[in-house]
Amino acid sequence: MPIKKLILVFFVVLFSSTTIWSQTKKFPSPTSADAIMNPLAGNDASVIAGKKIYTQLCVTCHGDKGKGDGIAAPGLPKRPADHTSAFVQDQTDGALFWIITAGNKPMPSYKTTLTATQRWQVINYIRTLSKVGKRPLHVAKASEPKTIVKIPNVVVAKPAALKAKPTIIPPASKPAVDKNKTIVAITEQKKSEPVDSVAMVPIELKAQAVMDSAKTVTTLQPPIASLETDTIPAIAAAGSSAQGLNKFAVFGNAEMIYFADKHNNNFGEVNFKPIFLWKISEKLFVEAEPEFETGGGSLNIGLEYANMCYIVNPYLILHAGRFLPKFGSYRGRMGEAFINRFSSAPVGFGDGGIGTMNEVGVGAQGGFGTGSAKINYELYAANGPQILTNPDEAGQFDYESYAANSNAKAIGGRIGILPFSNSSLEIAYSFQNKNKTGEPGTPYENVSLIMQAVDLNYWGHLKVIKTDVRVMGEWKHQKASDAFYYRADSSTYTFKNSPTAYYIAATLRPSHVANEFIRNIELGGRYSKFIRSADAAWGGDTDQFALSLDYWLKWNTVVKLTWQHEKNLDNALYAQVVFGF
Amino acid sequence: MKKHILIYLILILSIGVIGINSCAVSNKVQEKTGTQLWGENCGRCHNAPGPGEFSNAHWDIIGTHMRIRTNITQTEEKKIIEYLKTANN
Repeated sequence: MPIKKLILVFFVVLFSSTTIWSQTKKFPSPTSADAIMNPLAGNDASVIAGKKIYTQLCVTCHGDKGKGDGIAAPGLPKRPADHTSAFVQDQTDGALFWIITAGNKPMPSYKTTLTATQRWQVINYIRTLSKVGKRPLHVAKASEPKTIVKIPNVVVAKPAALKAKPTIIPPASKPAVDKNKTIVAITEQKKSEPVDSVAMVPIELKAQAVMDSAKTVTTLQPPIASLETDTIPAIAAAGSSAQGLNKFAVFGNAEMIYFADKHNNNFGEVNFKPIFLWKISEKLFVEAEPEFETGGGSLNIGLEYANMCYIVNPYLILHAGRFLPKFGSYRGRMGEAFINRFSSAPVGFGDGGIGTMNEVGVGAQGGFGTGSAKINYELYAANGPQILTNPDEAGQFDYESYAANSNAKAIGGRIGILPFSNSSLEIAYSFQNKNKTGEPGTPYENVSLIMQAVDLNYWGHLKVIKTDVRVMGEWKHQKASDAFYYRADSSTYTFKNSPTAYYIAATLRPSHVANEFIRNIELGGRYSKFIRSADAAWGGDTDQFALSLDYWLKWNTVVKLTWQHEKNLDNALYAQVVFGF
Repeated sequence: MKKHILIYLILILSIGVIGINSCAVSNKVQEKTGTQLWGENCGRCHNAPGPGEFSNAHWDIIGTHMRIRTNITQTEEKKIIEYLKTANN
């Protein structure tokens, strides 16, 4: 049975890969960091300050209890450290200070974001998170030398930038070291840093310690003696200007679908959708997405959008070109392959569906905060949809035409509200109106079309089962004015042309459980319905129910299996591979 | 008729939210760090890519692209991108 085999292969491969990719646990600080003394040891008041900083900077990844289960954890290449664990709590304060200061990708360095005092405050707060009871605030390993000398401040810099004679720390072995990155330590005091907040470090940093750190962090992560500096931002700034003002990037995704039902099973559409982005200046931006699709025995090339944007002020962006109008949230956002948790589209939202898709025109958009809520908006004028009149499609509309069929314009827009301060919920209303959708001089010239949509997206966290939950839904409706259409035999007929489509979907991802394989799985269920006049050539109601099992290989790379039941069709299985790049 | 009720509900909710919260951004929101905004906003649609995923120049581009695509505020864009760049500095 091909479907069963496919599912089996799916899990075997993914489980194997999970095992292979499992990371070994080794704390990334050098052994010399263990000797760094905590100047706030025993200072209970520092814990309160540390908690505030922890809430603002650490909780997003490490979670409010420090268990490594923050809301951003699912997208990270490795699981954030569990601060309650013995693995973290058994480290010395010095080791924790080192890692906060130097960073450990994807965790950034906090040497400039936080003062040394603030970093110690965070460490003292982390100590309170221990699930095995409060740990000593400073624990140095017995085997470490205890020669401690106060060094008020140290810097790392290119030799030319130094004002005092440096002590160069050579690498322990391989001599091929970039001179520009040679790690240097000096004892010049930094005026802005209070002496009592500065780390006490061993003055003699062993070369081996440097190499130890290099092995576990990156090749040239600075040791603790080189962490307090104003020089690094200067170097970074110089690098930034070297990149030029006109910045260009290509991102996008590649997709392939496998389809199987009672009669067919084959590898279906392959889509390649690079997105070209130019940030010409702080005000000017261009984005374009060509689309290459196989299917139906040919390669189809389209232009999804080519949009030129002018950023007027913090609340207003003007744009012109071919763009994805914000009509609902499925099209152009939740329906994108690396966002959509299903291998297929809801009925009424894919090919043959309703609602505007691509437009050519101009628009204005923006977003702003109000109280603890946010409002976003878009308003545009565009060529708009064109009515189709051939017998098979009579009364449907072309929503993606490149050129206008008349001088009439569509006016549309969307207003969205995010009522909660954590942006977990968005509710929006969209509309579009066009008075004349037909070719001038034909009986359909004055057929008007009004479209409306309401969409809702919620994202939350069920702590009890360590699972992220998403709820997505959209309702859209359109009404065309009455017209008489021709059948293939030239007879005429009319019908109430006001179709409605909606879907509601929910997904669960146990993103915060310990098992790597399980936390990369996402389960989804979706119901959708498409209500159309039975008198139309393409009419009749249909509905669809889909269940999906996804496995995330990376934040934007996913393998999906979707089982689908749709009225009047065979049950089907879709498998989709999506690679974001 | 049902659609009109839905639209009215949305409008009433909108006006209510604006009225309750006044026009000024609350301190609670103003004090949010780039780290918090990154987790809250990026994760709304997709898994949030971590710091270190892209270069600083690419983060600048991505910030503007996402602002256009999703209408996040300029303040959110700036704070989020500043945070995401920190892993590269």
